[in-house]
Parts: sequence; C-alpha cells; structure tokens
Amino acid sequence: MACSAWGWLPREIPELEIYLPSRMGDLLDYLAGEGRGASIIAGGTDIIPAMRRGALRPRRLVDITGLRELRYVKHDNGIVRIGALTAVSQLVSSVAWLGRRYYCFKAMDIHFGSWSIRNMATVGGNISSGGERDLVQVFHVLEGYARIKSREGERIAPAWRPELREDEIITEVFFKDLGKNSWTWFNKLEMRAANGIGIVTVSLMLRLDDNYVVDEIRIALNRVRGREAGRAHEAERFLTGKRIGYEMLREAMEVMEREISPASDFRASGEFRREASKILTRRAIEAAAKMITGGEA
Amino acid sequence: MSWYKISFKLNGEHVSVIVRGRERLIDVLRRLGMKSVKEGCSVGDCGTCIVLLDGEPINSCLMLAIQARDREITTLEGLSRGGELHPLQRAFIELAASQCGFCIPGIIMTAKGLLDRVPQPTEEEIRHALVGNLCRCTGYAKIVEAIRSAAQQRGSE
Ligand SMILES: Cc1cc2nc3c(=O)[nH]c(=O)nc-3n(C[C@H](O)[C@H](O)[C@H](O)COP(=O)(O)OP(=O)(O)OC[C@H]3O[C@@H](n4cnc5c(N)ncnc54)[C@H](O)[C@@H]3O)c2cc1C
Ligand code: FES
Ligand code: FES
Repeated sequence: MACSAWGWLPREIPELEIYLPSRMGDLLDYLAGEGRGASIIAGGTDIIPAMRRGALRPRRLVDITGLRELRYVKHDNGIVRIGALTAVSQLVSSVAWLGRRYYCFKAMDIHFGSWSIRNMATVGGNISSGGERDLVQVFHVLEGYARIKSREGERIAPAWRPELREDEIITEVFFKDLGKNSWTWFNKLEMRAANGIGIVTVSLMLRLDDNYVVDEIRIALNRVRGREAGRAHEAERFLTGKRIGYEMLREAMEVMEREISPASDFRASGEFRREASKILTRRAIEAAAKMITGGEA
Repeated sequence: MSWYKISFKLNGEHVSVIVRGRERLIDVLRRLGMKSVKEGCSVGDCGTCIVLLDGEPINSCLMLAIQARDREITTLEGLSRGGELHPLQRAFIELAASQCGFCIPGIIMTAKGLLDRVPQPTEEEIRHALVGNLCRCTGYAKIVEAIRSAAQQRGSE
C-alpha cells in the first residue's frame, strides 16, 4: 500500500463540471437552480486540499474569480468594506491607507501562510471555511459582518459565524471603522516559523479613553472551549473600566485561565494551549496599549 | 467528461488550450511543456510549483487550470530572452546556489516576483518572501546570496 508524508493518500480531484459566471445575477440564479449543491471555488487554497484529501467530492464547481468587482477594500462614511474576493496580500497592503491601528491585518504578512498563499487566499474563502482560521478571529474582534446574497435577497450575519446555505454567497465583510485611541493586534504561536497551522492565535481590539482607562476590549482565541473559537468575554468584562497596569493584567489573565478550556490534540495539550493563550493575550494587550499611549501607559 | 477551451498568456504568448474541469494549472503547464513547474507536496506547503499569475507568485497545485483563463502566467521558461539567461539564473549558476535543483524553479519565480516589487531587498525581505519555498539541500544561504547578487547586478546594469 502506498503511503505519504501527510498520513493520507492524495486522491485525484474528481471529474468536475465548472460554471464560470461573470455576473452576480447569473451566479445567484445558478446556485438556486440547476447548480444547487455546487461548491464555490475562489482562491482554491482550502477546497483543493479538501478534494485531494477526499473530504469533499463535488460534482459541480462554480468559479467566482471572474467576478472581479468583489476585490476591494474601501472606506465609506465610517464603514470599512472588504470584498469577498480580496486576497489576504491585498488586505495587508490596505493598512498603508486604512491606518496603522489595523495592525491585525498587517500581522497577516507574518502569520498567514506564505506569500504565494496570501496572493491566492481570499477573505470570503476564509470566513466561509470558518473554524480556527485567522480572519475569522480577526473579524470577531472587529465585530465584522458578512453581506450574504442569494436569489431570494440579501442578509447580514456575523462574519465569524455566517452559517451559509448552499444557494448563498458572501459578497463582502464590513465593520465600523475604529476611532482614535484604538489599536488591534494578532499573534500566532506555531510549530514552524511560518506557513504552519497555529497552536494558539490571539486577536485583540483595544480602545482606551483619554485617561488610559480601558473603554472597550475584545479578545478572540482560536480555542476557547474544546475546539471552538470564540471571545474571552469574562476577561473582557474584568478589564473594561480599568487602567492597564502590571497587577491588573496578571489578575485578568487569572480570570482568563478559569474561563477557557481548549482541547488537546497532537499539536499541543489543552494545558499548554491555555498557558500560551494567557501569554499571547497579555503581550497583545501590552503592545496595543503602548501603541495607543505612545509608551506612556 | 467536461472539457473547456480557455486562452491565456503564457510567457508572453497567447495560448488556447482544451482543459478538463478537474485539471490543475500545474497539470496543464506541464502538459504544455513547462517542465520547470514541479510537483512536490500538492497542497501548498513546498513551493516547487510556484509560477507568476499577473506578476504575483502563486501555487499552481492549488489552482484549477480553468481559473487561468484570460490571465497572464510566467514560468521559468519565460525568463531567458533570446538565449540570454535572466540575471537570477546567471547568479544561481555563478554562485552554485543549486544542488539537486528540484526547488530552484519555484525559488527563482518567487525571487522574480520579489525583485519586480522590491529591486534591492534586504536579506530579511528575501527570507520572508521565501517562507513557502522549501529546499532540502542547500540550507538557503547560497540561495539568499544569489538573489542579492542578481539584485545588485540588475541595479548596476
Ligand atoms: C499552505 C497553506 C497555508 C495556509 N495558512 C493559513 C493561515 O495561516 N491562516 C488561515 O486562516 N488559513 C490558512 N490557510 C487556509 C486557506 O488559505 C484560507 O482559509 C483561505 O482564506 C481560503 O480562501 P480561498 O479563497 O482559497 O478559499 P477556497 O478554497 O476557494 O474556498 C474555501 C471554502 O469557502 C467557500 N467559499 C469561497 N468563497 C466564498 C464566498 N465568497 N461565498 C461563499 N462561500 C465561499 C468554498 O466553497 C469553500 O468551501 C492555508 C492554506 C494552505 C494551503
Ligand atoms: S506542489 Fe505546490 S506547493 Fe508543493
Ligand atoms: S536544491 Fe535540492 S531541494 Fe533545493
């Protein structure tokens, strides 16, 4: 029997019919009609490995990369809008004009895959695949929403849990621009220096008031309970209204320790993940506070 | 079985080709004789299949051939001009930066993408760009040196 370095045998991609819409209306009609049950392909970086593993065996694919109008990062009237086909590398470059407080996007240049993967991987694909993926956690702390379309109309759902039906497509993710005194952070602990699967990721949004007291804080971890990603709400509540300081951060991390119970797997034990989550979160808060206060707090 | 006729630009020339729905870009490029495009891992980890899509490095093992329609693909075969090797190719030969050579086409294509964007990259920028290109022979030192040397040669030309 043949074996492979990954512990699974790559399979051929099954025979496929591919639909190539160039207009949104045609795509929605297809998904609701003759193409019911077809899978969408965008950057291909999740779906092609899934087909090679045999985890997914679609008979029909819809290639949405022809809908070039879904590649954008815009700022209109206090709302940041990111088209579903925006590549991660495009998101990284947008920080140059969106503002340095979106360090959470800039950090993707270090932590998300490799350069070629960032050129292919799309925002819509990441959100749709969901789970522990990086942008899912980042949009959780940005309180980003996905705009979802089908032939029946449009709906808005949290970007970290879009729960798509088979006839639906994500067209964009949007969130309220963070005002002044805000900063975001993203950090990942991985086994390889890069392009590996994260053991722990921390996403953060911090806003301080003029007296350097925490006005709002949002913390998302790739594993909060078991394998579930989510927010550390109790630690957030503990930190809100307090001035950032050594002792208070230590206590906040004790709250987080009681709050989270990440699952173990072959990459790391739950205990290790809990410890690493505390360390990464603490560093993220310190770094973000330093950026907001210019090192004064 | 589903077949599709697509056209794209390959190394500066228009090509029209019939592809199957399930064929990946790497399969079609190799079928068209672009044997520099190598299959290592098949899942985006090793970078031996990297080519440029509209000037940006991408993994041709993770893209369906049909997705290249109307786009521009550059492989290593497209770098030399009139029998003259590209400065990156010359530098890899002069500095003996290749051993078995399996990873080198992917590495040169990533390096080409980098030098087109950042003509004089630092060592850190080169190493960061190469994160998704694995080489099991050289230890990377000579590769980084060859890319720096090609950048300097281009700068002085
Ligand atoms: C080597 C490697 C490294 C990686 N590193 C990381 C990493 O560091 N962090 C990380 O988070 N991920 C990583 N990934 C996973 C992957 O790159 C991302 O999840 C990526 O964002 C998926 O986007 P895509 O466009 O390639 O999706 P595709 O593979 O094209 O699609 C993924 C899924 O989303 C659906 N889909 C795509 N677009 C839409 C849409 N607009 N509306 C509805 N459904 C849609 C598809 O049907 C499919 O189910 C890595 C993958 C590889 C191969
Ligand atoms: S074969 Fe494409 S990245 Fe390894
Ligand atoms: S030279 Fe052999 S893998 Fe790089």
